Amino acid sequence: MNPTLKFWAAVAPSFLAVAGIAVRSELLLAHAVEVRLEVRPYDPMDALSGRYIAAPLAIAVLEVDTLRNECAHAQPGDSVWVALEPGEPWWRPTAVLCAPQPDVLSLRGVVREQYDSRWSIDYDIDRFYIPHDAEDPSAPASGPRPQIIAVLHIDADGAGILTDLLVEGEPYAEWNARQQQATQER
Amino acid sequence: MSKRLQALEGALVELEREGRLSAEQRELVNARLREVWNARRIDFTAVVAAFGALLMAAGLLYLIGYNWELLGKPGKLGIVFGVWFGLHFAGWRLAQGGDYPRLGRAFTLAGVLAFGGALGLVAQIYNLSSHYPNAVLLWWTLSIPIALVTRSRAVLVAVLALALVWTAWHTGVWLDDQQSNHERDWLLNFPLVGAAFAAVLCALVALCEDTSFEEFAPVLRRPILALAAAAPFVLAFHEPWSDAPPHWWSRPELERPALAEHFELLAPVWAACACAAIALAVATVRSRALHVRIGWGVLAAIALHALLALFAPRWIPIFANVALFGGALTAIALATHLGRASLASAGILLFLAGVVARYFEYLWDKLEGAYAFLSTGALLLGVAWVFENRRRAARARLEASKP
Repeated sequence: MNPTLKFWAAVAPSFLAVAGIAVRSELLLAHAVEVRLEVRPYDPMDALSGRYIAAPLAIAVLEVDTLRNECAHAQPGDSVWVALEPGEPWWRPTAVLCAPQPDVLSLRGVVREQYDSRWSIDYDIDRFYIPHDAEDPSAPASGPRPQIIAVLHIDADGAGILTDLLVEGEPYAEWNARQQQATQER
Repeated sequence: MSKRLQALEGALVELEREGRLSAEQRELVNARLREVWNARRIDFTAVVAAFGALLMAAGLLYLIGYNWELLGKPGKLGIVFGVWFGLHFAGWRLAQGGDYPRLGRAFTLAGVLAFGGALGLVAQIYNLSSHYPNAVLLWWTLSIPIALVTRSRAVLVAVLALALVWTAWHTGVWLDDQQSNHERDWLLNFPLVGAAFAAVLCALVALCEDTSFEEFAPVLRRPILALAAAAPFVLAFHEPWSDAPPHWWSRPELERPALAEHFELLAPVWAACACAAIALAVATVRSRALHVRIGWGVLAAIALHALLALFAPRWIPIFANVALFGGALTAIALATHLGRASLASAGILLFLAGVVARYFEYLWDKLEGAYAFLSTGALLLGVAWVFENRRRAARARLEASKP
């Protein structure tokens, strides 16, 4: 094989992989339903990707006895779909399913821990990246922690993507700009 | 010209003057010396270029570490793909042209490292996260073709380092998921998985030998002893096993724990052993070279320790000590057989590390105050003396055995 072709054939899979992740995310955003969910945030750092607010969803810990549990036999490591219904200020879980169902919006997760009826479910959705000098709503300098809601896009298969955080009902970027302006004025 | 080269050339002139070297011989040696010197200068260029590549990659990673909120999504993606493609293009162009092959390889290495940055940035843009370190898995597996095509040893080192990081990370997350809080589960899995990694490397060395990938063999060979020896070294400590359950067969039938549960907690070890066995089987079909036999030996030792963990965990330190000292002596014997001074040094170092570890483990609490310092100092001085003597003797034997 031509050495040039060989070189680019070797390099291409890594480019395709990263492009694939981006394309998949864009497709999901284009075809998904917007959902708002409660989060319990804190503020860590990742060496590769930067500063983020860890935004574990409140539905990451479920009392399955209080829901319609159609997947009671699920074990740690099994995938489950948590059905959601609209509510104010955030959507609420209604059922635990073993597979996505038509006309039922559900978020896919993996059962990690089970303590009796309390299940810990990992949705792989717990990071919201923020600028390194941004204000952190999870650890306010003074006063109570503001209400934080995750804005997700979820497709028919239950795959979700975190698109924004609402801080006291305000999109994070706007809230951050306002906070930073207030800090500068002080 | 360096002072060292001038001194060597001066010595050659002296020898010629003394009549022990003809003018023609002196010229020949001189020419060879200059050749070697020039080759070293090229190596220096490679080192500088490699540092440049590493700094560039580090710069990229830092760039990703901070947020660039002023750019929109297309701008961010454009920059990451543009810079990443640029690094690979520069690498290919410089290596292909033939004038700057080392610089080209350094750019390719930067491109391989930038792959991790690209994954991190895309994760940042879309707020993606993953329970298992799948990004690192993608990073090292998809970099393998680049190492194979470019035949770059630096890229291979990066791939190996990433594979090792991924193996340890994935094992850690898996153990975390099992809600296993017992240190023995961690103590068993990490070193034994590392040893299985060494067995895989043995198979790869054997597969590379006598092929066009032969230049990869030294890189693959280098971490084998450290990875294989870490397992018995860690498992040889008695303390973690002192309160382990008694032998499985000596317990009343009703009190015997479910083996399946214990078996499952060693899943990373079984998975790593399966990979190593497949790699070694493939290598065995091709050749029965020394590294294949070493690989099977390492795999057998891992299997033995894993079975002991199931049935007789209290015996683990005994067998680990046998493996540690046996491994050290085997390394020394092999070094003498193969004429490898560095392997002999590593074997002696391993043996002495085992002796020092056992000394501290069993005798430390029996000593008090000044005696502890005096005896430990004396031991370390003695160890250093023995080590130096053994090293010199081994080197002398190796020198003498050379034709």
